[in-house]
Amino acid sequence: MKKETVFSSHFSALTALFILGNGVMVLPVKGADEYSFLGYLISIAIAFLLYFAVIPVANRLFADNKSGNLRAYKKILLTIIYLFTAVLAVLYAAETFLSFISFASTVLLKSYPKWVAVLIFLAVIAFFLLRRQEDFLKFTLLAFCFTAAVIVFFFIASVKNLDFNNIVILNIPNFKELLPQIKTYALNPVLPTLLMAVYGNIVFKKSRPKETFWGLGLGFTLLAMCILNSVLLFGAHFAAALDYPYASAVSTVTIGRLFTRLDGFSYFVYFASALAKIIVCLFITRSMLKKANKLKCKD
Amino acid sequence: MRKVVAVLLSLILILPLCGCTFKVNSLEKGLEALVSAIGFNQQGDIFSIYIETVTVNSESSEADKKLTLTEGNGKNLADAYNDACRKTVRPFMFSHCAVAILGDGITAKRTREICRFLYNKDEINLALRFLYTDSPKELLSCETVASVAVGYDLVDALDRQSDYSGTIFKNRFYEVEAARKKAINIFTLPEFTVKNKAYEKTGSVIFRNDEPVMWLDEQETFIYSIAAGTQRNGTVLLNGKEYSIKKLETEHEFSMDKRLQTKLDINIELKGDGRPKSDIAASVSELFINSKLKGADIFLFGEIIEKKEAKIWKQIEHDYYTIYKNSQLAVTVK
Repeated sequence: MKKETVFSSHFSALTALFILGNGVMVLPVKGADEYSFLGYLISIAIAFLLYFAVIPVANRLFADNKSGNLRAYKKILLTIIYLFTAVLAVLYAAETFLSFISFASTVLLKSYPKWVAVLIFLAVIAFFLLRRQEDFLKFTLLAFCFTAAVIVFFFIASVKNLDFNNIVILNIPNFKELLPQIKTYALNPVLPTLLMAVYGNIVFKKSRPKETFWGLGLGFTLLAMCILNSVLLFGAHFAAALDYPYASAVSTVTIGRLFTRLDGFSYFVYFASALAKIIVCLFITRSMLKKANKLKCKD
Repeated sequence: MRKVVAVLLSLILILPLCGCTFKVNSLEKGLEALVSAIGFNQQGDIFSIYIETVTVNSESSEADKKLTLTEGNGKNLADAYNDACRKTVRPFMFSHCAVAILGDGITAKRTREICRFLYNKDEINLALRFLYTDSPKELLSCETVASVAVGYDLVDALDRQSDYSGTIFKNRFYEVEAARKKAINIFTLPEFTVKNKAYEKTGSVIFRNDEPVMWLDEQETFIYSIAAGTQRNGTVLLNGKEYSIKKLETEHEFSMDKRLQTKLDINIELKGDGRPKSDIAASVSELFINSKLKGADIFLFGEIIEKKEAKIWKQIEHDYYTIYKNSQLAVTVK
């Protein structure tokens, strides 16, 4: 009970960072138009509905209370589900890893060969994977506080230059016009977010609806601020044409005459959110493979 | 102890991934050539680039501050830039470039080249301002007034004037790029003129499809900004008299019969001697007529129609500029 209370805010923070994931680096993507933000808002609603629909299923499938008296076909089905989840998690981890390495090698460490960025990031991932999840959760809470502060600060600092006409919609779009925008956000971050239900069951032995609700809310709000920061500044079309829209938006912020090019702060946001997503996905992969193996051994 | 080592190890691993890289070359040389402004012009077949740099000794920022203007010439932008790079020892750093200046010889093709060049430049500041002048070389050769470089002085001068007059220019790189991506490719740049090695903002230039089409003086710039909706509270000169502007609302009404009819209602609070509102209405009409001759929808009516009047836009979008040239405008300034 005490452990659950202590780590409740940590789980919310991790959920929020997971949602930011690699989306915060690249959203809005090519193809974004004036309906992009409306598509994002709709995808948030879908995310909440899907997540809370998935929780009972996740509790049943992934809780660590499977008895040894399962029938053969149930074992096979469970093994398939565990392996599918493991593959899905590793794919999301790989996608996020590649996004961050691409960013690190072209922006952060551009004077160095790509393998330097790969090695450093792999070392950090290995470091956290080898430690207990509680340690990672503690790091996540600190990282989230800093991330949230950075995002809110830059949003407020950019307000004077933001053009809210960039998201004003005077003609209601039809479903055909809206679908591509919803689809973009459904693929990232909505669908990967469902993995947090699996993570919660593995680490805490049950789902955490209250913490999840807060985590989803905070994560989607922060991601919305990042997307808005670039869309309201640049317009949807130009923002989507940029490689790293949020970093580009932050780079235009000036504080007085002295402080310019503060985009370095956004790099920590990218790092923390990418790390959170990768660690969670790899942890799920490891756990799913263990579970699948356990089922096989019980045969 | 283990926790301390773990935290230190994390920081050492994490910091490089957060942008705290070591610039070995800069440390070895101790000097960095910060680009504060860049100018472009074309005369005949020769394309010229002018790069203003501030050389700062990284150990002592006050001493050894050197302002340099490097000129590069070539058949195209790439050749001109390479020529400029050959003339300087230090690499150019564009992360703090404040202005990009277009000269009077720039064509639509060159504007596109310049925008692409800047866009692809590493670390380019997307908030850098575009300006227009007859001769970027002359402008960048002026004496600095308040800052360390002419580029930064120009930005300060522009900001001060915008704060005073309330006329806002959407001339940042990202604003120009956003405008260029739209179907109605119109953007406006402030114009500076040089007299006796001193510069002065003397009006604005409207670009259509990346080419300058209309030159406006200060008064016309103010009137244009009222009609275009980029005017805020401020103090302006009209026919030699000073007026303070408070509150500005513009309303558009469009209708399509045989011709596109636009009704523009401008509600403005002007304080000062005289009754300039009728003059403003007449000037807006005059600007509109000139814009039709140039085929430039300078007030972006097409964009407004597309957003507000989808049915009308569907009728006219296929041949908008022909329809625009034959359209009518009724202006009321209250």
